[in-house]
Amino acid sequence: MGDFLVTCLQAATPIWLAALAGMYAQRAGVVHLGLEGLLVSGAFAATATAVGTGSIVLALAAAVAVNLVLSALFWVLTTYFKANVMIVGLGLSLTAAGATGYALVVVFGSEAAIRSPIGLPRPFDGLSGPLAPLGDLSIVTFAAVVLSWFAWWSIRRTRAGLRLSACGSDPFAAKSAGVPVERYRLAALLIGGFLCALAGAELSLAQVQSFSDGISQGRGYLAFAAVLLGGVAPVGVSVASLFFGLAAALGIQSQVDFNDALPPQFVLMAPYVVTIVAISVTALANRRRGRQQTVIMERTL
Amino acid sequence: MRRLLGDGRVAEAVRPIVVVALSLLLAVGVFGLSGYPVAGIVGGAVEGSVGSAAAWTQTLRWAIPLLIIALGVGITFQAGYFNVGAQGQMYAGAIGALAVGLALRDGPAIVVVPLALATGVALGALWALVPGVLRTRLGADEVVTSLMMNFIAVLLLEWICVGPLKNQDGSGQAATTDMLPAAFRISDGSGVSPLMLGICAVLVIAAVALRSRTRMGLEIRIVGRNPVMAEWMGIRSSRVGLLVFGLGGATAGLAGAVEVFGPLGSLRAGFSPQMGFMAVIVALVAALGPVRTLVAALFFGALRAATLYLPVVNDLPLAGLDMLNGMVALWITVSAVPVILARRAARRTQGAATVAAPVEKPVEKEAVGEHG
Repeated sequence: MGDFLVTCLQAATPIWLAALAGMYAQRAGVVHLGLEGLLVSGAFAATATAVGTGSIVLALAAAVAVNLVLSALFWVLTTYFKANVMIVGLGLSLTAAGATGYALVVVFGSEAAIRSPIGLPRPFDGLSGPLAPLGDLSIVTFAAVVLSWFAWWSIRRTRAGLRLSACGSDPFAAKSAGVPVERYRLAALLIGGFLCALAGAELSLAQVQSFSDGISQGRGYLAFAAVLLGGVAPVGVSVASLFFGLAAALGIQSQVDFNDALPPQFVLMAPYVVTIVAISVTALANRRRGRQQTVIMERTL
Repeated sequence: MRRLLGDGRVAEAVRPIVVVALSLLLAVGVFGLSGYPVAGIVGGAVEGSVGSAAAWTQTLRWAIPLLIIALGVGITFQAGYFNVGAQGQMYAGAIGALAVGLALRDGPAIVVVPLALATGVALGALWALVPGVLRTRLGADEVVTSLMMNFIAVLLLEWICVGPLKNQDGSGQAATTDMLPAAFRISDGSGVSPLMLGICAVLVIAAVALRSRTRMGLEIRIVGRNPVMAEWMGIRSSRVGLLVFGLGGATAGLAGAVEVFGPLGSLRAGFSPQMGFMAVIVALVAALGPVRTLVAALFFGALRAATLYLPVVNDLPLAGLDMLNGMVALWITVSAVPVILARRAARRTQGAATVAAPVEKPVEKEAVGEHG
């Protein structure tokens, strides 16, 4: 049981942090489909640096640096060059997937996975007794708990957090009240880049300690779904991510436990189905409550 | 939509070309900087895409599915719906077509093949109608739902390939299905045949006709450009919405069916993973016009053929193509020039008295979810 919970947490952590990143962006009014790309770039930068320098601090720093640059690029393209947010996000994800696969070959000479000599520290390693499974959790998982609290605090309890939310829910009102909307969006995206760097490092340096092409397997999109499933609120997003972690762990478990009764693929489908249902129910509830949506929201494609 | 199409027809035509050219330059620059011979890569790319009959076949092989999907994606986008679920719809169509083909493997090809293709079309359309209905009836955001449907389809395909339709020949091939009988295949392994080219031609003509010769095509574009006006004109936009989702899904499903009955012959878990997103890029580069979609699909098909050929001659990694596609997607909706020009013009006329930025942009980032 303890082992299973730990597996859930391990599976949830990258999604969780990326979902917090997506939540900041969405609160600021940026639909962030680039989470997947930031996860991959963070994972690659961290692993490559870890292999090159052998230092976990430098690895994390490199991941953060790369993701801050990419997030700033995202902001510049959507703000100054008026590009479509969703397409730039998808483009960022595609570019990162391709570029890391390419860099893997160029830098390390093969398409095989690169192994890192070091992993993320595990603060509770070596415990015995009922708490022993905690030893398998990397420091990033504990950071995710703290960062969730920080997200809640910063959004609900600080002036900047309220302004950030205003940028998303009503940019015109925010602008009229003197909030520099674009700068808040940049800040949200940079925070997101930082969180995705941690998520990426967790992905590649926590358990597997290696980077391979396609390591993220759509977790970034899952995180995006968690943002919406969690109602773009810190607590909700965290719960949604933990639920996705649970589903992933169950998928792993079901391969062992009831191999023929229920194929693991169907267990793994659960998060997506739940997301679709939850989004539909939310939309329906909004409609019932009289918040009539315009027939078709005009997208500036 | 308006922004994507630009203001003048010239800008409309030139911008995608500039974007693609810049991305190509950038990609070749990256290849050069990382130590690959630039001349060799350019030469190899030309050779591998248009340099010989075999190269042309490869180009067409990849252009065909891209074209079929992108035509449907273009129609959906024209109506202002951002359906990014082409990948899943393609998988659904491929699964349906293959299941019919394998179930009736002793039947006559002349009956089974059309039936299988029709099944693929229908399943693709159904797969797309899930986000379509949720969008038009409940208002659930179609970007998210269609994206989620992609992942469900990926897992469904994986299950099909290791479960019910797993190949029985005991070759130990992990996640593949049985081969279709050779009589059912509409092309050989090269993936190009007169029949497939004929299908493409019919689809392009149909798309052109729909766009410029029918009332429905006009309604689709009005709904995309100005939904409020569409309502006032008595256009039932929810019906138009369902129609475009259905059409987009149907073409993607057809592409999946054609892939199975053409070049592939059997299904493998996660085949052609980037096809759906590439088709979206093709549709965007083509600015949603059917004929331009044909040109763009040919170009990206050639690119695909070239990047499959380059690893053979230059050891260039295949991932370079994904990088290039991604870059095109990154810049393709950029509209810096008009904005900068407008700003400059405004500054000139209004002088220094302007306080706020003269070019305020309209709401372009509406929130998808609710901010609790």
